[in-house]
Amino acid sequence: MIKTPSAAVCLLTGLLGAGAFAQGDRGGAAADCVPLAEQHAGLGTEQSVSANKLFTTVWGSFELPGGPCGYESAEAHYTALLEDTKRRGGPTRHTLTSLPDWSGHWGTDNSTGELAIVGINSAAEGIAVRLTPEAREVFLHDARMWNEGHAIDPISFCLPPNFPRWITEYGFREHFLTPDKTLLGSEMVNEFRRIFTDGRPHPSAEWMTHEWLGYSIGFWDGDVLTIWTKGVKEGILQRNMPRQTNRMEVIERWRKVDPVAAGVDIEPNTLGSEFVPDQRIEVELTMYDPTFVEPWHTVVALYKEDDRTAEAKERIWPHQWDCVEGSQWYMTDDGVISQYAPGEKPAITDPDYWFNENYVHK
Amino acid sequence: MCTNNLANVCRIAIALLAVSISSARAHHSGAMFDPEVMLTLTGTVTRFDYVNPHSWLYVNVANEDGTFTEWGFELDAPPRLRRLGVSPSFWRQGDRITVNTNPLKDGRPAGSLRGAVSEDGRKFGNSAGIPALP
Repeated sequence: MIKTPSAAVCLLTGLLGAGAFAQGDRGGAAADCVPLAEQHAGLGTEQSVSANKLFTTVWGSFELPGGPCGYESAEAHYTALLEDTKRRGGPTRHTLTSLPDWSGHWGTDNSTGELAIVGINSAAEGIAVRLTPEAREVFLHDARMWNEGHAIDPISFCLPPNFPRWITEYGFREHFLTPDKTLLGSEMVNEFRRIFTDGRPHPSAEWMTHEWLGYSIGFWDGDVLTIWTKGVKEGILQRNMPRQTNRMEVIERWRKVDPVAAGVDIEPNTLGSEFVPDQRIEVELTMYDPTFVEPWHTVVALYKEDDRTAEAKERIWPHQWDCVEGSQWYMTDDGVISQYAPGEKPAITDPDYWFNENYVHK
Repeated sequence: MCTNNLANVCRIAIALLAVSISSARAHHSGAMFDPEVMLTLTGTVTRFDYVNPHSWLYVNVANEDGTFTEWGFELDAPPRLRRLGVSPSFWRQGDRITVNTNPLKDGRPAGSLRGAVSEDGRKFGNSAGIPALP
């Protein structure tokens, strides 16, 4: 039986003046705050990246940061982390040589593209308790649409996956770090997130738009990169997962860890690729959205492809992602979505198609 | 359910016990493919397009009247195929091949590739029920 979460009114008051904001600090919670994991203990408590795979971390914490029901906003969360590093002399001003080494090609340790769900299982009833009553109805409606074969996924229309879904997708990943800006790349849709670490704020309301990857600022605290993203588009967290609004804001903390040195035995889901056992990136991710009854906190991990052999150097090579060229998908005027059979798709990659004197701009 | 009159080698129509590829792994919904029907088709590879967001394998399949129909079979994206060790030359033009496929529901000659066995015995995916090529 799903209880109605009372945590919708769980606001953390006086948090910014509490003094200590280290990860996991539970001070400042309102007296009536009851975490979802405590309200719904019967729904599952295993730390898992999917419904069928246990997930172990070296560094990342599954504990909701900021207290029993989390921070009241992404801004409060980011400010707390920034103030915390300032008290210890940060943020760290890296040089090109002092930045951590995140080179190489990486893959999401995740077989199904789901976001990790902690303390609450990833079945529909476990997801629904995270949502406001209105959002819960939308989610259950969307789930029925999926089961009936309707298309409610921007990727199906050759659009980008949106953020934070970006982090769960399956292409090769690349990271390029400089002191003032970090690029986090994903093969899907050739996307690169740009994380400004030069101290600039987000764009003001005059310049802010809603982008597939949003606008990201961040800072370094030693080898931990903290990121605050806002200005995303409305979308879905993943297929068969809830929608997100364009008011979602996300706090991430990225860190490379060494499972071997930590004595943690991790066997990532690589689909058969060899991986580098002593290199792994763990990402704590906390989503703030008005449709959530409490911040949605999770941990996602990337494994590093082992490309030390000549065979791997041939094989590990990100490809262009051109959905217009590569997709056989189409939709008719009456809403039927299907795939082209051989010979049906216009030969748009043939130069004769472009230089066609029958085509006229009007 | 093998009603497509273009395929004379439709041998098997079985209800799948499970759909092994979750919707989250694919670029698009698989609702246009019929998971209740598995066709086994034999033919000659005409092209293997190794492209994002989905690769496609094209095979010429003989019809009962002696003509040929080119079928298209959708499979995973290069980042997954590369991790599985399937290279862009895994199938080459002229290869004889037998495939298992969930076809389009509307009968046109395309489907989701579930498995394949090449003439030299190389296997891909779910090749259950595919007999050895003569």
